[in-house]
Amino acid sequence: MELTPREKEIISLLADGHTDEAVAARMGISRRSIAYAISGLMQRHDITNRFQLGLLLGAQIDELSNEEGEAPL
Amino acid sequence: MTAVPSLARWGVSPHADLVYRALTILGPNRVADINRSLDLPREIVRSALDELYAVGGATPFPGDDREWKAAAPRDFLAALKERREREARALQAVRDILDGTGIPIREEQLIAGSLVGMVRPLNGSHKTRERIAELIAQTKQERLSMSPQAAFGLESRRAAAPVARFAALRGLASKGIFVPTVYAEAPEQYSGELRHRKDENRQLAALPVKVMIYDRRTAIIPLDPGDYHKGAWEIRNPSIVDTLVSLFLQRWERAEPVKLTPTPGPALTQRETEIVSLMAEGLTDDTIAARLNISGRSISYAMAGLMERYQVRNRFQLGLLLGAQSTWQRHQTGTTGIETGTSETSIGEAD
Repeated sequence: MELTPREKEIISLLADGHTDEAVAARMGISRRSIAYAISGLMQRHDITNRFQLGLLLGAQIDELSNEEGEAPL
Repeated sequence: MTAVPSLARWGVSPHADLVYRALTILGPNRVADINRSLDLPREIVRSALDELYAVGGATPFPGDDREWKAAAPRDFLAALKERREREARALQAVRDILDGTGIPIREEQLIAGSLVGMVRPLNGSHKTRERIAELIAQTKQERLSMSPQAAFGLESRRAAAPVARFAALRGLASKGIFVPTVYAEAPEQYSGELRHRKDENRQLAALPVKVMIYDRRTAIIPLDPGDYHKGAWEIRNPSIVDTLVSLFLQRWERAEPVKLTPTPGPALTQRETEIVSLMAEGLTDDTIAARLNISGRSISYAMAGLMERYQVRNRFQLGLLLGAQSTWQRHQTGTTGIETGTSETSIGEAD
């Protein structure tokens, strides 16, 4: 899954269990920007809730955590 | 006017043939003019031009793909001929490999009739893996895999996990045949790995060749059965794919089902599985409640209970966790703890 650097940052903070507010505060952006970024991401992948987004990303977790640029396969 | 022989016998589509003629006769031309003068819809002209481009019949002007120019007929025919010869050599190579493993391919199966390339090499492991990921993404129903390898290396296993999860998320049915030693490997190697709910595994003492088949339309075999590092052949020639499918099914009949001990993981109750499966389909809490004939509050409770059990704080995290385990899948039929994706990634993999 292609993620922009900002999406990646948001996702990894959410994955740590932070709330939208906490993520926003930490990144110094508005809560609305968080919601906006996430809904854009969900739209791109044709999904409608955050649980699905988690499932989709969870399935690719190796790929996400592998920053060395190694092939995911 | 330049005489252009019929291109149909080289496998060029009628529309591409027509567009090529128009370009040759009219000279360099704009897409809009071609579609007007041939009275063909613009998309058809576009796809004809794409086809011509792919086979060396036409090129767009640099920096502007609205204007196109035909290749000289002599050059185009030479390109078509070269293409066909390459395809014939590829088919022959595939035949040699299969012959070498006791799978005869008849002469008439080798007809290189199409331009789209029914057989092509995937050189090296990187390219092979990339292509396999694409194929899995495109597969609608089923993948079949068979491998004579006695064991898979850790590297293959590690590489296989994401593919397998991907396939599982897509709900693909998988059938795999491996040799018994693969199943005899230490069970801890499988712990933490996915259990595919729609996977079926069987074992057979000897298997002739490594092969993966997607939707019974595309097959992958090693470029060199003695060295998987080299890459693979991708085969879409229907007749050869059919041969490989029958070979697979034949062995499948003879092979013995394998039940592997499931890797331990927190199980979901039936209600939780129902809720989570509907949520995975994108339904809202309210819709799920209506569908299951329970209250919205029960959904919240169930989710809160799950989050508590998994020690996570939001639904996104819960999704991440379940996605990685794929325990949410509704079709909880198998108990396999093996990664059948392994057979795919080990082509071109350092074992």
